[in-house]
Amino acid sequence: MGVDYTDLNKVFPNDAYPLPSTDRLVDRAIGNQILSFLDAYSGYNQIPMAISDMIKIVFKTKDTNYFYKAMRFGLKNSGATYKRLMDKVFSHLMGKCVKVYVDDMIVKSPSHLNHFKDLVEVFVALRKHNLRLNLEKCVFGVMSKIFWDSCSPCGRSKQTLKSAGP
Amino acid sequence: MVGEDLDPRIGCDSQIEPIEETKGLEVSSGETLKLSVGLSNGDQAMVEATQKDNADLFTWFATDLLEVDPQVVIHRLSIFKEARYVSKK
Repeated sequence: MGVDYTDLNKVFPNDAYPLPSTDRLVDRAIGNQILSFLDAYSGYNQIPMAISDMIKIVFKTKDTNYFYKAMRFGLKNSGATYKRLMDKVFSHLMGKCVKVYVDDMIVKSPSHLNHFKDLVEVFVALRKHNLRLNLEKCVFGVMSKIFWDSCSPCGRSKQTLKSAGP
Repeated sequence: MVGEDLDPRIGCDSQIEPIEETKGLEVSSGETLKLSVGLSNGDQAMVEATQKDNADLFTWFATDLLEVDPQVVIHRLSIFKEARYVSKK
């Protein structure tokens, strides 16, 4: 079910928090030996809405009015708020072993042995902030020497990247 | 304001995915763990063990979700003062 927030989205300013570029993310991952892809379980719904703003995302059904307590997808700045959270959760790991693109996370390590240590560190950070993962969408232990598909955020310009290493 | 300006993920099914071959491995909870076919048996066992130790992080129902602490992050709308109510048609 979706609620149309078009009118609401017109009356608040854009959040200028920088969103990452997928290309840069993939470029940086190349060269690491082993990667795991993690997906946050309906990531957006894990972020609370400000109490004073809950009333603004109310919707009507035949017999009751409801409002969401969690952040919604269709709101203009949801992506920025989510990125802000990710940057907080992984502040100590960003650039070390974690890359985040919206609610996809990539854990990258130079060796297999380090990878399990890195995964545990990531899990500790997620648990600390009550975040949950969707096992169905996670892929573990991928070797980055092999090519992979890089999709632009909406899959419009699909391209295949190749490892630059020997 | 169209969908793609609102949210980078609206209207897209694709996410970043490896094209390397993966295989499913059933874990004790009955779910399937996806991992690369290129892993050695030892590494495979490590992945399995790591996932098992953290099984609480992999939830399957929206009701299992906990909320992030509002002290850490909260979503605000900061609506312009001069904004007027609009009735939806």
